[in-house]
Amino acid sequence: MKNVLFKYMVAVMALGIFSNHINAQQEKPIININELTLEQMKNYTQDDLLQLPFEDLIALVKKFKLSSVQELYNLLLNPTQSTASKMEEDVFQSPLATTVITADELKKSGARSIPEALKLAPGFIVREKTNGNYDVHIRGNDFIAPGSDLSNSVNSTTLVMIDNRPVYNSFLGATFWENLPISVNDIDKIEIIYGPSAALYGPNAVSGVIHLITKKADKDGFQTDFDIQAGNNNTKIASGAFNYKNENWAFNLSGNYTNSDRFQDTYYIPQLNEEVSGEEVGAQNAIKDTNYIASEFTNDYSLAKDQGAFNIGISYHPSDNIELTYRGSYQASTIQTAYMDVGSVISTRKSSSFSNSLNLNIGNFDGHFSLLSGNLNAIKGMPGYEYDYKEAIGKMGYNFKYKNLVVRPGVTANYAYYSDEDYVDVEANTGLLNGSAELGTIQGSLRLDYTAFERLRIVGAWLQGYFYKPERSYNSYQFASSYKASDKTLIRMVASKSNSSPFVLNTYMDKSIQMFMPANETNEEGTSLSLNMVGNENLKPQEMNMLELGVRHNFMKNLHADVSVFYNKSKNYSQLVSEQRNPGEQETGSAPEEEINQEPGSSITITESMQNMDLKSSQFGVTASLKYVMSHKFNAAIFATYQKTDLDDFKISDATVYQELTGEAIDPMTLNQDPAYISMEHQYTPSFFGGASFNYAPSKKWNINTSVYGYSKQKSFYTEGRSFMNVEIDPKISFNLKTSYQVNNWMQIYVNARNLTNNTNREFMFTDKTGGIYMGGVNIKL
Amino acid sequence: MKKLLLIALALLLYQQVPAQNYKFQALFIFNIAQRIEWPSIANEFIIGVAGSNEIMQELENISTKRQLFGHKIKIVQLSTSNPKVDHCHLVYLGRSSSSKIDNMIPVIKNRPILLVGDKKGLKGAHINFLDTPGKIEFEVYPNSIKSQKLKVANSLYELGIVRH
Repeated sequence: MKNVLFKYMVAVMALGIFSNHINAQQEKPIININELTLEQMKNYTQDDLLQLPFEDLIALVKKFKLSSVQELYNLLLNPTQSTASKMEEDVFQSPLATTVITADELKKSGARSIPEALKLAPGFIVREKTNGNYDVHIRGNDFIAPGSDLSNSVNSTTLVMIDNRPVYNSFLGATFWENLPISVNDIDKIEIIYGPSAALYGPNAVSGVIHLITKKADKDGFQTDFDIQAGNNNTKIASGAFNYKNENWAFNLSGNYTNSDRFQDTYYIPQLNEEVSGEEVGAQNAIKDTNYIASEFTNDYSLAKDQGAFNIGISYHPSDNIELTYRGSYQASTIQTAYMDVGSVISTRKSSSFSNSLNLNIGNFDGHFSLLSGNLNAIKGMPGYEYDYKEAIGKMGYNFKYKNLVVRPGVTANYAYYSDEDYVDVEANTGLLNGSAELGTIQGSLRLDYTAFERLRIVGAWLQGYFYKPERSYNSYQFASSYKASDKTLIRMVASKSNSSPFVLNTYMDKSIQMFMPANETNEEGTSLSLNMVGNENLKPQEMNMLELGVRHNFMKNLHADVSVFYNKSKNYSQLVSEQRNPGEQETGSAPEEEINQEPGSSITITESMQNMDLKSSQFGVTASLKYVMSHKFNAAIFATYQKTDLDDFKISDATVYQELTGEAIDPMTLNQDPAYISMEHQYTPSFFGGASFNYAPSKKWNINTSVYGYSKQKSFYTEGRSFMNVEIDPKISFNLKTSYQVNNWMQIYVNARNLTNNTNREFMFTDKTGGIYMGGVNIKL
Repeated sequence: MKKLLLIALALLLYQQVPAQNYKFQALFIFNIAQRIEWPSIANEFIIGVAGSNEIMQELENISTKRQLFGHKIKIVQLSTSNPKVDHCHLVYLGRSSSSKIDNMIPVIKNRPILLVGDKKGLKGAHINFLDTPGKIEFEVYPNSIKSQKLKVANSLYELGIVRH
């Protein structure tokens, strides 16, 4: 026995010494089955297992109860993820609310795009604006303040990453999904963390993190994977990948292309409350904003999406401890979607970008470096919304492991440069920036993760950050604890705080609109109006505090339930506030730039600046999900969220809005002088939302996947000047069905129906009534 | 109609079918092959696979990394209706093709070929995998193996479940 122990110790020491050596892969692993943990075992490759004597292999299978059914349960009910803790662990063990969508689930579901695939995850509100273009929010807190500009409906509080590279647009903080260079077929898994997570990922991980992890070649030699599908509305979706792998190197070349049409070629104009033809839209938009160039409005009224991208990946993996991965991507896209109310609401967004990213893993060290440059025209025809940008990101961390304690120090820095000077008349201030603007942050973080008695886990993370452009320090925290009451039950709790980062637009905006207000019918001696809109370097970024309780329970080995109860409070919303409204009157703390004189022939200058609002939101919600795996033939998942969001200190200075929201009449002059602060329920986030998916494989060749997604009624309002319009989005349930047939070893054919019943209820305010898409496709793997 | 749907769903839920474990089965096959004395191996050790693309892929992975008795491993796909096993040393018959074993038995008769099945008690197979939740086991039929003129290491009998 002593001899065995001595040999084991020598082996462990030898392994330790060699593990840091670049040629460690040459050393045979020395595996002691009795000492081996499940986590260690999962790290073994087929190569490692091939070196085991048959007796040990059988002992291993018995010890960990390895069988395909068990593997299937783990794959579907309890996949591994590394986003929640920056360490690989099962979803069941994660102290945070966590979901994983695997490549297999993505493929079987038939989801056309990444945002559409997020309908498969609990806690997501996904609304289709035009065919295949989506608005995505985690849990809600969306379109606050209600009734404000539509651009406030974009999600600027979720951090989306591709292989650790943040992909949100720093101009407004939004993620423009069509700008991502990868398709669903490039993805190995989507890892989702719910709630504020800036302490691990930096600002913008406010409502959560969506981490898109791309596929890696898993077999030696050449592999190809092509997928082509086509259907109604001129839908054409294609993707292809070539992979090559040998012992140390892997190469990947992939591309994707999507083209589809809208369900209509007319445009809804809220001010007119009617649909108008494409020919009229340019002129209508120019009436709303005189800067709008009517002739630049698209003439392809039917286009929903036209996007394509190429990716190249090179991975060097000299040993089990070292991996270096480069990914270069180019994408170009043109879509019609809702971004801002320019008159038509739906406008054309065009982009192209080139990104380079490098991920480095050496033992417990991980690093990421990326560079991005691109051009984006957020609203074609509207001067100032086209800009060039460059972003650089670097982050590093190290997991020090000592017994049951993991300490992770980390450092992150990023820099963003945006410029519209090539696209606007800088002197005339027709742009939004009228020059260039920079943003930059540097931040350090420390995370402690301690497990006591193999059951109680305590996690604490703190981030101290400093924005050097504009100058400001900030901090974020995350405390989480989980208790494994039994092998079947885990109880968890999270308290965390995060904030968004300053964005280019709300910090540096500098826009002027010149308008002429005629004094009489002959248009003589009118008043010229100059509206200046400026950003605010002292703006506080949006912040969320959250408390969350959760329980995970395995009722049976193949039935897994997960419930999260969350309460969060958000503040520091911002909007443009007029610094000067009427002659002789001024807002507290701001000075009028110039006295307003409404005499004919005179000019008026009004300045609006970005200001934090007193408005606060609080949200209470519950998300529950149930996953069941019967066998390789049948599995199911069902999930739903109930939530209620309340707004407090919502400042109202318009009598019509006040009366519509409270039902009480008020004197306009009194309200104008002394604005009211009201509390109300925020009904734009639906009270209920959720879905289900079922997969049935009656034989090895056939697979039938059906999924359903729905939400309850949503309400908000729209104001333009003094007009008020209630906006209601009716409840909607949509079904999807993909049936595939494996013709032979390398070819699969399928039919794929999205929104099977052609439910054409509008999903997003003022946008298209999107319906069913029915496609046929073929997948070839060689 | 609702009742019909419920009955259909109930039938679906109770239609339990044991699953395959390709990754570990392939590792087991590699190890089993090492514990058998093969009378002649010319240039390559040839494993024929019928009725399972998954096990074929796993075995192909192994074949790129390992040899058997100093020979390269070659994996060939066999037809279940007309299997050409001429140069094979070991033949694997997937679970879904178990009923096709009658096509296999005549072509391997009296030849030093080991037939591995994936169904408990599959008659005619020399080794059968049993894949039940929590374990992977295999049955060994010593008498059938002897009739194929193959010699099995005693350790294989100890590791498997011997059936006579």
